[in-house]
Amino acid sequence: MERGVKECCGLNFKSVSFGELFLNKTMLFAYVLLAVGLIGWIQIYGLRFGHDFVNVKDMIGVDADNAKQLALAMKEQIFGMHHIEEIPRTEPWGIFVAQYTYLLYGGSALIFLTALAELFNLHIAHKASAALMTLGIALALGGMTSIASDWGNPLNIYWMILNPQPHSGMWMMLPLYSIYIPFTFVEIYFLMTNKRELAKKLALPLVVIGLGIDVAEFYIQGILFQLNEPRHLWTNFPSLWLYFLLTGMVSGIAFALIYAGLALREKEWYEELKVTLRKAGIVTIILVALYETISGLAGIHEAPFSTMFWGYVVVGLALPLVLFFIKQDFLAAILMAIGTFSARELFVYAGNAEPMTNRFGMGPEAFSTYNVAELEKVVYENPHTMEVLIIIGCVGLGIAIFKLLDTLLDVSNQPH
Amino acid sequence: MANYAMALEYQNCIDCRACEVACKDENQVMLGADKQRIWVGVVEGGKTLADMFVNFYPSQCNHCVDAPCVTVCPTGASHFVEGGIVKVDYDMCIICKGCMEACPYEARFVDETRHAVDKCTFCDGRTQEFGTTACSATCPTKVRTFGDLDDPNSLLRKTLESREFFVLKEGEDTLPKLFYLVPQDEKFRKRTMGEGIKIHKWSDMAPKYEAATAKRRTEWKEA
Repeated sequence: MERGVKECCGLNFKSVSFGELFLNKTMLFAYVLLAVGLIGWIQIYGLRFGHDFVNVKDMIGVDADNAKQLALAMKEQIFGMHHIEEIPRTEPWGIFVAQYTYLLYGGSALIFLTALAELFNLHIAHKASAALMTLGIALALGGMTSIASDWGNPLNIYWMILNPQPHSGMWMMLPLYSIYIPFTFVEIYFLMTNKRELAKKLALPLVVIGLGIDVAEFYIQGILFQLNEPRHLWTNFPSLWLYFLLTGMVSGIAFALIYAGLALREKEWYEELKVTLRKAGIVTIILVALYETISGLAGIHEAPFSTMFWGYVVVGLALPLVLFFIKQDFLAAILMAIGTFSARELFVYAGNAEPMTNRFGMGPEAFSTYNVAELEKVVYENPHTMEVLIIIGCVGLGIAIFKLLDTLLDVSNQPH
Repeated sequence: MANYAMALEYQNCIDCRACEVACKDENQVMLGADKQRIWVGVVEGGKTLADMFVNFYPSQCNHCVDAPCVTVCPTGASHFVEGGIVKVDYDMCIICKGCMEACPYEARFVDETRHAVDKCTFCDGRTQEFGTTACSATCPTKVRTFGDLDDPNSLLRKTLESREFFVLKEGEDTLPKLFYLVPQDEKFRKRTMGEGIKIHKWSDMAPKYEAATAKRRTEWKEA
C-alpha cells in the first residue's frame, strides 16, 4: 500500500491535509461559483421568508406601528409585483428546472454511458469509469440542488414520506433517487474496491441493474413532464424519456470531455478516452438530430424560443459535429455543453409558452392547441438575477463534490 | 353528499369586478393584481367604430372532476374535499408548482403570505353556511349560479337542463365544472365564442360527468 493511504471497508482513502483537500485550485474555483450562488440563495430565501407580503387580513386593525410597513408592502404588491414576485402564474417552471434537467440528465446519462462501456467491456472503461461515474453523480447532485432551490417551501417535504402519492411523477422521484444515488455509489465502490474477486463476481449484475435503473429514471422523468396535460409541447413529444436520454448523453459526453481535457491530460490513456468520447459524441449527435427531425420541434419560430432552438441546434449539435471531425474535441465539448443548456431552456420555457387563460384572447381560452407559430403573444419571462446566480452555484456544488471525492478516493486513478 | 358546480351567464357580466373584491375579502387572498382566485378576462376587438366590442369572461378554478393538479401533487396537498371541491392544504404544500403546470386554466398562483399555492375553494365553509359562494352572492347581474350538480331540484341543474352550455378546454378531458351558458343573443354568441367550441346539453353530458364523479368520489375527504 502507498504511503499516506489508509484502507477502510476495502477502499483506499488518501491521507491529505486540510489544504490539499479544501484549498486546491479546483476547490477554489468551486468556491467562487458557490459564493455567487450563495448571494442568490440569500436573496431568494430572504424574499420567500423575510419579505413583507400582505393580504386583506393584515389590513384589518392596522395601527401606527405597522401602517407604514403595510403601506409599502401594499404599494409593492399592487404596483410593482413583477419586481418581487418570484413565480408568475403564467410561467411556474423556469431556469431552476432547466438547470435541474441539464445537470441531472447530463450526469445520469454519463453514468448510463459508462455502465454501457463496462457492459461491452471497453478497455478504456476499466481506466476511467470510476471517475466518470463520480463526475456524473456529482453533477446530478448539483442538479438536485437546483430543483430543491426551486421549491418555495421545502420545509414541508416530509409529507412526501408521510403521505405517499404514487400517481404523481414528482413523488416517484423520491423512491427513484433513494435507490439511484446509493446504487451509483455502490457501483463506484466496486470499481474502486480492493476486494477485486467480489467486484469481478458482481460486476455484470451491477452494471445490468444500473442500466435498468438509469432507463427507469429517464422513463419517470418523462412521466413527470407528460402528466402536465395542458402543456402540449411536453405531451406531444414522442418518447420523451428517449429525448431526455439522448440529449442527456450529449451533455454528459461534453462534461466528460471537458473534465478529461482539464484533469486527465497527463494520463497515458487520455488519447484513448478522448477518441472513445469523440466517437460516442458523433453517434449521439446524429441520433439527437434524427430525433429532432422526427419530433418536429423545428416548428418553433417565436423569439426567444427560436434563438434557443437554433442555439441548441447550431452550437450544441452542428458545430460540435464538425469540430469532432477535425479533432477539436475540447472546443466541441464546450459548445455542446452550452448548446444543450439552451436545449433545456427551450424545453422548459417553450412548454409554458402558450397563454393558458383568457387574458390574451379568445383562442387559447377555449381551445386546447399548442401551436406557438400561430400565437400572437407567447409567454416568456426572463429569470430573476438571483435565480441565475443560484444555478451558477449549483455547478459549483457539483464541481466541489466531485473534487472532494476525487481527492479522497483518487477516482481518476482507478485501480483496475 | 353534494357535488358543487357553477353555471356562468357570462353575457350578463359588466366587468364591475365586485366578485374579485368579494373573493379577496371573504378568503383573505393576498393583495396584488395577479394574485386572484377569480378574475374577469377582457378581450377587445373590432376595427372601426361601428364594429368595436369588448368581451368579458369571468372565470376561476374549474374544480375539474378529473383534476390533473391533484394527480401531479407529490405531497397530497392538492386534494378533493366533500362537494368535489379541489383544495390545497397549505401546511403540506412545498410549492413545487407542478399543479400550476398541470392546470389547464391557470387558476393557481403562489400566495407568498401563506407560503403555499392558492386557488378558488368555492368558498368552502361559507358555502355550507350560506348556500353559495361570495362571488356568486355579490354579483349584481347574476352571472354565477352556484349549486349542487347532483340535485335535480337545484337551480343549477334546472339551468343546465334548460340551456345549452360549453366548457373551457374540453379536449383536456378534465371534466371542468364551470359551465358557460351559451348566450341567447345570436350576435353576442358569435362575437364571444369564436369557432369550434362544442355546445352541449346536460342530457348529453350527464352520463360522462356522473360516471367520472362516482369513480372519484371515494377520494373526497372531509371538508
